[in-house]
Amino acid sequence: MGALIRAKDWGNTPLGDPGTWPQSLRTMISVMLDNPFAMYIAWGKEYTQIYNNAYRPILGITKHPEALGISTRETFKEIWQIIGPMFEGVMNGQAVGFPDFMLPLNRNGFEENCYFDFSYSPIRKEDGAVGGVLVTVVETTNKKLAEDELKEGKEQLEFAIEAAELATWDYNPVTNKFSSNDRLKEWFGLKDEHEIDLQQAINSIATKDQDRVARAIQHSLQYSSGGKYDIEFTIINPVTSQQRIVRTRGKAWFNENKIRYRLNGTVQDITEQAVARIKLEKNEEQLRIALEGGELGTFDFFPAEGKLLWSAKTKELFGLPPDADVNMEIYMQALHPDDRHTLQAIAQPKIVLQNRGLYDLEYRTIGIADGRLRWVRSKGIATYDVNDNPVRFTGVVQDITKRKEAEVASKESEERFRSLANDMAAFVFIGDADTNVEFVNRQWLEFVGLKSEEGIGKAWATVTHPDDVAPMTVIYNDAVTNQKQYEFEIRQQNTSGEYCWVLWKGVPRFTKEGTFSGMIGVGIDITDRKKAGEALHNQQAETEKLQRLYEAVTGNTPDLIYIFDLNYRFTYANPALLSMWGKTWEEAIGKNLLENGYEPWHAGMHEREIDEIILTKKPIRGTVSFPHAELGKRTYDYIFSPVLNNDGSVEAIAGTARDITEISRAEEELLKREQQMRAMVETAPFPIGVYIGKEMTVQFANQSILDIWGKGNDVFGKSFNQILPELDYQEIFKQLDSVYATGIPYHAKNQQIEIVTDGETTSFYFNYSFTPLADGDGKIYGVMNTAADVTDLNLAKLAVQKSEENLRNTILQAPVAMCIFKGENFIVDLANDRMFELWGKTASEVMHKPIFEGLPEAKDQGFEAIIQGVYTTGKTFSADGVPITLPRNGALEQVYVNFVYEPYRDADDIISGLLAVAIDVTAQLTASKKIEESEEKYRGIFETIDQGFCIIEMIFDSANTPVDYLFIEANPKFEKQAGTVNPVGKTIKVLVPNIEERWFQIYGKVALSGEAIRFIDRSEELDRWFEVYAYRLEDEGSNKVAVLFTDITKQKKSQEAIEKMASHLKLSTDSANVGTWSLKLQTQELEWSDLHKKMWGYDEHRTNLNFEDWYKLILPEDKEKAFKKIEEAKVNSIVYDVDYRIHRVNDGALRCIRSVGKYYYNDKGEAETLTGISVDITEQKEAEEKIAASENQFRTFADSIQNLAWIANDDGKIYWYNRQWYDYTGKTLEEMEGFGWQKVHHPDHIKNIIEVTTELWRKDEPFELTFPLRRHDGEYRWFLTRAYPIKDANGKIERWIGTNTDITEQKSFSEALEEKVKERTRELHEKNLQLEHTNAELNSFTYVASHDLQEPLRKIQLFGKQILSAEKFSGRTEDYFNRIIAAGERMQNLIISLLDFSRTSATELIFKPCDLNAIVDESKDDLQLNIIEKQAVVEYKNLPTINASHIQLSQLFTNLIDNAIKYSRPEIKPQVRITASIVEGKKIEHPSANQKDYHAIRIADNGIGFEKEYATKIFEIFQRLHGKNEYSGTGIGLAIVKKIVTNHNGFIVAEGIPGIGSTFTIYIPAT
Amino acid sequence: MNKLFLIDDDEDDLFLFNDLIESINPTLHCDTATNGRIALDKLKVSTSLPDLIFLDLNMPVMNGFDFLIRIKSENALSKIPIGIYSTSNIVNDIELAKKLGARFFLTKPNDLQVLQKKLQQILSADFTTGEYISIT
Repeated sequence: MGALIRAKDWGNTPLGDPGTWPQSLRTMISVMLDNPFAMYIAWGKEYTQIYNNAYRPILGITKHPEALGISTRETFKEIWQIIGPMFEGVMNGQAVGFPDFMLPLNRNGFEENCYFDFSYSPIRKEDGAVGGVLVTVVETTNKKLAEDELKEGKEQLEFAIEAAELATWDYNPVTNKFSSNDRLKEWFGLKDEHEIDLQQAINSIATKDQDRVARAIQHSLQYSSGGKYDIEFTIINPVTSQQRIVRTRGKAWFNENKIRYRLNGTVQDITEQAVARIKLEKNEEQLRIALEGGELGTFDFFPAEGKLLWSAKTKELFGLPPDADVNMEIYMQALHPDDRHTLQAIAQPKIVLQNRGLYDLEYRTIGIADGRLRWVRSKGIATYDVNDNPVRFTGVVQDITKRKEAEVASKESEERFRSLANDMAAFVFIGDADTNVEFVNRQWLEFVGLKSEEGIGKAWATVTHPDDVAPMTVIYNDAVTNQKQYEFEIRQQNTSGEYCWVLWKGVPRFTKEGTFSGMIGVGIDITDRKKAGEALHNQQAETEKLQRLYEAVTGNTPDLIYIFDLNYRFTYANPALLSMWGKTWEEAIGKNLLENGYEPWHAGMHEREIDEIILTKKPIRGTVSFPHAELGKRTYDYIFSPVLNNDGSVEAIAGTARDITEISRAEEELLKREQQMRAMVETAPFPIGVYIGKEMTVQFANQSILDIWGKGNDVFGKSFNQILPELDYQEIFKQLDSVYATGIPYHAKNQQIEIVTDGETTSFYFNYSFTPLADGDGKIYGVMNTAADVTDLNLAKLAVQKSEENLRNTILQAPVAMCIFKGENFIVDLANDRMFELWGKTASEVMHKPIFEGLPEAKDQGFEAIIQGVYTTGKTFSADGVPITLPRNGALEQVYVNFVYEPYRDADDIISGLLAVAIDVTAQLTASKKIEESEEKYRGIFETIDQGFCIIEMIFDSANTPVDYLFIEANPKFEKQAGTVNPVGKTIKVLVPNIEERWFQIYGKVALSGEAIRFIDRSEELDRWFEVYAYRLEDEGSNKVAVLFTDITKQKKSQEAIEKMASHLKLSTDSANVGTWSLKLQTQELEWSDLHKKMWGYDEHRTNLNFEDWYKLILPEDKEKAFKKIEEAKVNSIVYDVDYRIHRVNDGALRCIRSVGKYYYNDKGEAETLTGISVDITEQKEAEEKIAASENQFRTFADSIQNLAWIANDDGKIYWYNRQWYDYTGKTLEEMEGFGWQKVHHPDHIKNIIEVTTELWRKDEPFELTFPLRRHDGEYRWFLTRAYPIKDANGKIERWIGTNTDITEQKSFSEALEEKVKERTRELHEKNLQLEHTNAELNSFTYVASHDLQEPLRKIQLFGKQILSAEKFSGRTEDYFNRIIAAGERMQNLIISLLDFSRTSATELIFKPCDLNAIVDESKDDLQLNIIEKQAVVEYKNLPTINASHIQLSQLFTNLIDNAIKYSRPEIKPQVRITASIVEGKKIEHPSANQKDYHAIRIADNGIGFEKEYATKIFEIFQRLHGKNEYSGTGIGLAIVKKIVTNHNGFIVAEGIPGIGSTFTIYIPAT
Repeated sequence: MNKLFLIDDDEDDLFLFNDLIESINPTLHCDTATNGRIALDKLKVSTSLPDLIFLDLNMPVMNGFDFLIRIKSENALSKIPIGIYSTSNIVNDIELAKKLGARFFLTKPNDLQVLQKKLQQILSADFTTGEYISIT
């Protein structure tokens, strides 16, 4: 433009030659030409025009370049009537300006409405008179058009929003203001205000949702969140209380600095959808409860495709995880091999078909993944096509493992009980509630000597010691009456008649309902144990006392105390340690470090230490850190010490540990902080010092601060004021104190500081900071000093100042805001009024001050860098519409400015300042901002609404029939909802060639009639359901239709799913015998499934059931418990699960019902319905009770016996022990499981026991073993173990039941006894042998004597006599023969007597009552010849009957009487008198008289008598007192007598007086 | 009473017994054997059985008790009456012999005249009744 002006021949214009132009015009022209804004000058009366490049577009194609140099009147003649008067006003000194001023210009060959923001200002000449008009113009035509267009778009959008029944809202996070459309206000019950606080809107949201919504808003306002906001909640209109469930979607907007400035979006009423969805969820839940309550899984099988579908529960029943894939192969594989074949056969379609498609199977599965055996009941139904081919099998599976196991367990439990009871070494009885005996075990039967249980009740009384019966009865009856335990010790007689001490213990038995059902009594023979028990008891009490003492110490200390054995296992841990581990004693003790959760490095460390202690016997101390169960990582100081046993070797390691975490953490923290600090300080390139404490002791100072101070390293540890005392008066100390005291950092810039170095004071300029240093608790402990030396920079500031040009005038006159900044600080050197207006300041506030000082409001808005840039580089900088916050009427406001910064050069062309020109375009930009916002809003909604939205243009054929339509616009959701891609610019027939005709007709009708339409329809082609709202855009004749639609295929499908599910539910519940029900709480109406009605005995067609029909059937005693739980479920909103009993209504039968249910609530949180299922569990319950009773009986009994008892698997793995086992061993179940029993065996025996038992387990016979077991205190005691196998129906052993009886005392006693008995037996045996030998010899002698010795003697006599009778001899010879015969006779008598004597032995004697009177008679008969010959008299009187051997007594009397007659005096007839009496033993003076009473039998005669000295001698064998011719006799008779008396435990005394007579007295015990 | 059978190992007794029987009844024939075994063999092959057997107890090879037992198992011989003729007067022997079916027990006396008297009593006794005969 400059060139054009220079080329112009100005001479022909009213302005004349440029050389004559006034200075003000020339200056103005130069400013104008460089200005990017449209400007022109109309000079002089003719308004001769000069304009810049920016102005040219306004002139269009027809007015330029002609306009240059001619009059405005000419150029703008078409509007001169409008602007002419304004120009005149300016020429009179009145400036004027208008925004968006419409002028109908003709500049492009036609007339158009143009809009301008313009100002006309006067240009004054040197003399002050107005020389011309300066016009600054901004054309706003395009903006105006855009605004109009937007307005139209906005209206369209609002119509769309209206049609979609959307509410819209807009939230400004800066002001926290919230605005919305009327619909939203109506929904939220908001007043008709334009803006409200966000909280007001939130208040209308249901309380339960408020927090969630607030959080979602805050989340979306985070830049990192992406700004997306999408949430569903319930609103409650505060006025009408109407509730809506809404979905609100929105987007947060952020500026380029990531600062949020708005959040807007829409709200959609989805109440109906939500209600449908909740209903679906409810239905789903009901199904879930039904299935889970019945423990049911579901399946579907499509034979044609071979597709198998299983629910998670079904998978579980087949031992599969919920996400596993299934197919028929897996199914078959999971079946128990024994059931596979049958199942295949039964599941044959034909068989199933015969049964109308229903089938019901029970079979076993073996878990595919877990290998578990389960019993499964599968009920299902098959559907068939017309050809009877199965199409689908569907049904439910149920876990019936428990039921199956229960059947077996019930039997087993009873068997187990019996075998244990019979097998154990104790007596057992079980009595019923009426003290009748129900059961006694084999041991008791054997003890009392009965063969069966019959009459056992009576046996009890007979075997019990009479003295013990009464007290025992009192105790037992009392225990029965009060249903409590009892215990008594009584004496009872075993089958051998001995009394034994038996300890009986009894426990009451109860049924599951708690009814007393009798007593279990267990008795053990404690005769031997009684004494030992007492000693043990005393010892135990002492031990326990010590233990308590010890526990009191270790239990209360916070230190950790523990003991290891040599295998690193904990044998003790005090409560503090257990709490640290978070374990119980049982969990931790006996475990090693690793098992107690120590990390491997830690465990390894302690194990090495323990090894070392075992070697060195010296304690070890250390520190270790590791995690505590509750307190997190802790540090401990610990000491391990050896525990030495008697021989000085280490037997255990005792440890204590003290928590030193706090101490060590503090130390660590300190160290860490120091290190950080030091590193930071050392590496910093600028001066840093750290001063600690109130005294500001220098802790750190890096080299650069030391350089400044001019000090060496000796500063450390000294206080700041010691080092730099000269700073005191410079207030530095005060600043430090203040920072230390308040924690507020102090910053200073360009501060002049004087520092004394080597005695000289030097001035420095510093930027420095004092920053507080805080510890972990926020306490200030020091100050960090950082500084930058800016001395040089400040010195350089002494720069040159330049003089100003007279441009100032022009600037002051300029119609736009202009000013000059001088120097680097941009001191306001000059500014015109317009600039002051723009700044919102008066001249005095800003003039001659640095701009940012005078106008601090403009600071930090980015201008510093810009103007600095222009100042430094010399390049002009311009920008449009820059926002800047400036003071306006006492407040800050954002204004928008177009501005230019030009370098201001002095005479030497050196930049000495800036020239700034600014135009306030706030109004203009605010408008365009609004447009943008509006556009944003539209787009925001357009893009965020969930519905598909499109604008289509209908295409009609010549007959005005709609044939197609074109997509003009579509929102992002369109594709998702419609399922077509990139629709805009395409017709529907292109997108979906086979689209149904009816869509054209519907939309065509809308376009033609203008009537909006709402409908639901399905497009088969798209396979989608749509809910559509269509309306015509614009007026009649427009073919544009807006379509708002939603893909509701899912809803439709879920509706179908609900229906399907309902039928599925019915199938599954019916097949599982599950009844379903639902109770409406308000009306008490009860809905029951047909099956449920049947279950309760109601007619299945009955409809009018209510709550009472349910409630009244429940047993009163069950009601309270059940309804308490149901009430709890209501309060806590949980599923309840209760059992109760009912009397079935039709037959009164007692049934057990399991009821599972849940409350459903309305939106106010009030319970509305109670829904659930019922299952008849009567049979299951009965089975359970049976098992429980049996099991209970078994356990009670097993725990109440004295013996240890256990149950093992067939391979000897013991899985159950009774309480006594644990009491004895002091072990836990975990320690004992499996082969844990080996732990308590003696190491010397265990190998042998394992060998023996391994063999024994294999045999299926009961066995006995004795071995020692370790008691909890380490003592080994001997046990007699009896094991008894339990067999299944096939005779295979399933388990072993065993008992262990403590036989330690018996064992040691019986061992000694056994030894002695053996010894004696051996001796006896030897003696017996000897005796037998002797006897045999004697027998043979007797034999010889009785036969062979007699024989020759008899012959001598026989033949001698024969000779004497046959021959005649001389008298002498005859005498000789007679002597021979007599000698033979004597010899024979002697032999007979000897035989008699030898036969008179004690053996083979038969004692029976003998009447002595009769025996004496017999003897008299025997001796008749002698008696007659000697005319003897034998008298006897009142002789007793005594227990004796008849034969021997007969011999005795014969001998004695014979003796008396034989030794009679020749001249006197013999007289024998026999008398008897009872004499007390103690009165008899005889060494053998040791019995109480004796029969004394006296045989007195009047014979020759004998000398006293012979009184004992006469009983000796072969002792004769007389010559053999004087008195005949063998000398054996009395010896035999004595022997006979001795055989009868008696003795004989002989008294005699020579020539008077003898008396023999026999003493025989009188028992 | 035509025929007797004496079983005794003592030659003297056999001689005296035969002498005495001959003096009592010269027509009475008396067969002999020196132990139970020989006697049994003889009786088994005998064509005419004895009317009465006198049996000693103490004999070699087969003694009197054994013979008593054995002959009871021989059907053809079991009916022959048997009496004991022994030196024994032991009660146990007498009782045992009775039990085994002996019809009398004759202890050998030291005087032939006594023996003669007792034999006369036996030979005139009636054995058909099967009762035990006490010898006085």
